[in-house]
Amino acid sequence: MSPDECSFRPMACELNYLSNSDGSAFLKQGETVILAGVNGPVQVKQTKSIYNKATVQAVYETKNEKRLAGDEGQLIRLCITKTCESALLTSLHPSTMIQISIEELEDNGSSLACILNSSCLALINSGLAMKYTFAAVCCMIDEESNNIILDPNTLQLKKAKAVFTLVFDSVKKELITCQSSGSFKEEELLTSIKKCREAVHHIFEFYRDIVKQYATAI
Amino acid sequence: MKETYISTCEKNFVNKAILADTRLDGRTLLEPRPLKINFGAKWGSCLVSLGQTRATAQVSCDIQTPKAARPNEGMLYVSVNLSPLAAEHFDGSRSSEATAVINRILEKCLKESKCVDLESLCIVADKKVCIKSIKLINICKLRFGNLYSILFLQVWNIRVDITIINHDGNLIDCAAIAALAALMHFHRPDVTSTGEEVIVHSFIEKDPLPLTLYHHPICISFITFENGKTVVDPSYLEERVGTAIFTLTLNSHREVCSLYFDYMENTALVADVIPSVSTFAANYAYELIREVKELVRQDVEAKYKKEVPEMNTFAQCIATDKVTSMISERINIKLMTWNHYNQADEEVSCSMETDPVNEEKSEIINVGNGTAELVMSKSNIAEGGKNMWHSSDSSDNEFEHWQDVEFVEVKNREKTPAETIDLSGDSEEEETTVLSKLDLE
Repeated sequence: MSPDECSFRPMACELNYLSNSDGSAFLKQGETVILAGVNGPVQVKQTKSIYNKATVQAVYETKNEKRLAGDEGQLIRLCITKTCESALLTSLHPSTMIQISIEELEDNGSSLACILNSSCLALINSGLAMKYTFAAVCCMIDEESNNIILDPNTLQLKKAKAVFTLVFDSVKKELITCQSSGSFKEEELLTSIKKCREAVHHIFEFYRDIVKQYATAI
Repeated sequence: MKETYISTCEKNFVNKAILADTRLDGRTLLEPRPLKINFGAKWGSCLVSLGQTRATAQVSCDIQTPKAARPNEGMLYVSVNLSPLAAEHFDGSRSSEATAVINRILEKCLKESKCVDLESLCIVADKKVCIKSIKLINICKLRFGNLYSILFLQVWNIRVDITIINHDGNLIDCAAIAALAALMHFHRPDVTSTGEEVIVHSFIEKDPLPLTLYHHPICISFITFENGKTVVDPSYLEERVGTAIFTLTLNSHREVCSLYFDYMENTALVADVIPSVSTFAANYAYELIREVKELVRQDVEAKYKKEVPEMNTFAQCIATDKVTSMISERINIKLMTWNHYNQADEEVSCSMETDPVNEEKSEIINVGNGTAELVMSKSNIAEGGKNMWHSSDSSDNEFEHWQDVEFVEVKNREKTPAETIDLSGDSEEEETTVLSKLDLE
């Protein structure tokens, strides 16, 4: 197995990238570049307001118009909303809205994982109370060799039999979101989950490093 | 959400400051903010920062039927989107007044100044051709994967999408620079027309072609205050306090392409503004366009050589020396179970051993089973563990909950320069310093 197949691409991140958002993160995983911003709690429209908790809304922008218009964009928005909702303590801010805006600057594979990681970093940066942080790992099963490839790029994804994006929480390392495409066997999914769970602590480590670095200064 | 109101206090303060030729960010009246452009890996994608105002642009193209009135010309379409990231009062819809104003100015700047050679974007002039549809699969990824052809489509339609991602005033200038830089950077696929057929070549088959630009128009905005002073490149606060906005579109030959005036309040002073700033605007536009050209040239040349540009890529958006940024190397996952795809077993305990040789290298060498791995030697924060908090009324059953609590270890260390800054000083002059990583060590 080559190093390309079982490693995370280099990650680089800057928090507080935008001056007008409450929290923002500019995350680069390999060549995939995502900008995430969080505004909240802010005023909510009467129709969307929930009386006992905050409404979580995701806005997703990409340069790929086909994806934005189609079902895939809707799916990504739903995935961000539900994942962040599970992590946030929404009952602390009733009748308000927490808005997560994602701008996809460049996509070179594993974009959903990068989107979720950057939204988690933006939430950490915004200082909203959370039950746990979450981290997403993308993996795919190769068509020919049946190998599990971590953090694939666009070139590798072309040969994929199935692609999973798995999200874990930081406390118990339990699976909180799973998005899959392609056909696969049950045991392949279980193996992928197991391997991603082992790999995910590197991302939490990255979160911790960046937060430790600036939290001690402020 | 509504835009926050601006207080009379703030308004008076800004007005008084301007009267004394001072601006809140320390600039002189006719001093623009620094410009930074970062280009993406794709053709025609860039991120422009004008101070804190940021905009991204992406140029894309497809083949369409031309307008009936102009069958020999390609089409140019400009679209501006104000993302909710930029400011809390933007809701992301494309129909707001602010969007319409910026869109219109950019259309005047790019379309009506005729800076793009639209005639060269015509593929088949005024003739209906029948093209065999060959392979449409890759279009969505590469836009033109292999051969792309549909019935009766004859000209290129160039589309410029601009997204404002941070609002700190002067959106027009920032969007105009982004649009121009993206158009200059963009390359379209080459086409061959053989009478009956039109073949669109992928970037691998034939080198892509840049767009032809006759001249390079750019917008420069000014704000006039009620006391008659005019500033260039206004910030968000200045934009809201000022009484009239004035945008001049100029090219590098000092020619005016369009003018835009907007009175926020009635004022008689605006007629005097144009003569007072036009010379400055022409010089500044010349400098700005030269800077944009140089940045685009560097990136395009690097891309022609098929190498990763050293400067101004999206990776360079991340400041390396800030406390809030973090850059990691490729992380190798080294697990003993990694090779046994089918034998993965719940019972397999990951008894890991440190291999000093493998830790040094950035690549894994597959030596055999159970060799490569990574050990977390230090205690893991936020994964549960012994409680470090002191509680005055600790009872036994609380210990169970502590397993779920995340705690952050605070290490004793020497005082950093950040801590030694005396905050109790009563000097009114404030000094802004950016904390860098070196200060913290």
